[in-house]
Amino acid sequence: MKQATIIYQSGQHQWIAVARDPERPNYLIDTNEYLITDGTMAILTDPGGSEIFSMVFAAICEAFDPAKISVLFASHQDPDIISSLSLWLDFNPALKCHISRLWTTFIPHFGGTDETLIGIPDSGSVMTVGKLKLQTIPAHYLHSSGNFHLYDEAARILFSGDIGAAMLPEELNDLFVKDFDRHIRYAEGFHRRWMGSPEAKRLWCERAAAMKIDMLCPQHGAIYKGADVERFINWFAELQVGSGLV
Amino acid sequence: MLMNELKAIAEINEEIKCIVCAAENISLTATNAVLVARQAGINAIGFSVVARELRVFSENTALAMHGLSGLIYRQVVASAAKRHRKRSLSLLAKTAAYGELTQTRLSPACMRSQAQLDELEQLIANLLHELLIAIRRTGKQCATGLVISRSAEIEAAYGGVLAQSLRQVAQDAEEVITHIAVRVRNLESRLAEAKS
Repeated sequence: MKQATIIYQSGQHQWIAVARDPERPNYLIDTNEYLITDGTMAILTDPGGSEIFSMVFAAICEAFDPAKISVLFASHQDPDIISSLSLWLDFNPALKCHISRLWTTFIPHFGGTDETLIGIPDSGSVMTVGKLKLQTIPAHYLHSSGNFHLYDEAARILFSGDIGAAMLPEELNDLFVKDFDRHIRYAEGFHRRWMGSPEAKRLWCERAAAMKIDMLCPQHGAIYKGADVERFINWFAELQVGSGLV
Repeated sequence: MLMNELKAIAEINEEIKCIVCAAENISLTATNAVLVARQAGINAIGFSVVARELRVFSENTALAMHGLSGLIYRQVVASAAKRHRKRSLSLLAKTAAYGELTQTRLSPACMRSQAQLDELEQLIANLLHELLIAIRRTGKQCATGLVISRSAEIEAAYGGVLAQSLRQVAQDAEEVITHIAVRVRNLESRLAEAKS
């Protein structure tokens, strides 16, 4: 089963990382889910694929009442991000799912209807869930053409979807990046291949550098904390991407 | 099991397409019969009446098959939904099995899901029953079609110089209707098997 770990807490305001499933079959890519709550309501980021629904749901149950999750946020349209939607809707038919407006007619192939899906405009939006105010940050073409990240200004945490992702070997199983130079080797190939636009990357790096970020939380791999956040942004700014490189 | 259900439906649908094709052949044969009867003139007036009946038979068969195709489509929709629901239910059950906490949280969702699955299973059983009734009706139509084609053969004897041509047309019709009747019987036993 995955582990639910509180990575931020201020009063009732929490970020809970749901990650690292030792029972996960090797043919499924490992994913991180993040539950953000004000104590009464919660939002779940990139809830994952249908095959790992059991592990995610069971881990959340250990730490939080899943009935209080009222909103799902999907950074983009991939199956490892949101193909569990129909199962979440089985659990709570009233759930809403925020995703780029580009994908609102694609995602119902996984589940849900136009009443479930709330399209985020290209320029981003502010999501209010209970006392939480979260900003959806445009990250189009990084890697999906309709792509958003989620910023919690109060917690100074950025959920960065596939940016910052790393395909880590089993021995590097820590939730947080411990040795940036060693870690980033496992991120390089992924970013070169999946990030499609140097211009979009430059804009994202400028935007991220201007934000106050204590933790950068990707959907795969380990979380960047403190000085490693800036290190990552600088590393990404320098990385050659999007020129047909394989 | 569910995949086999869809496979069985696809096979039934193929059978129906073959019958539709054969019914179109009957229509052509019947039109041909009407034309030959017209050439034979007053001598073939009886044959002409029977030929028109053959054409009615082919139209009715095509109509019946169209109705069956509609039922088959609904069956595919219901079976696919059942497959989807069954997978969801199994994933929910797997999640619930993690412990008391997950079981408590997911129990209403599992019950809702099971109720939907039961409803779909009932719908599929009802559709199968409707299909069986419709195919039995078609089987009876085929028996009438065979009687008509045999009557045509008898009437052909009064066709004068064109008697041989008329007999050939009647035999062609009988052959095609026999072919349809065999396929309908196959379909009926296939459906009866699926129902049991």
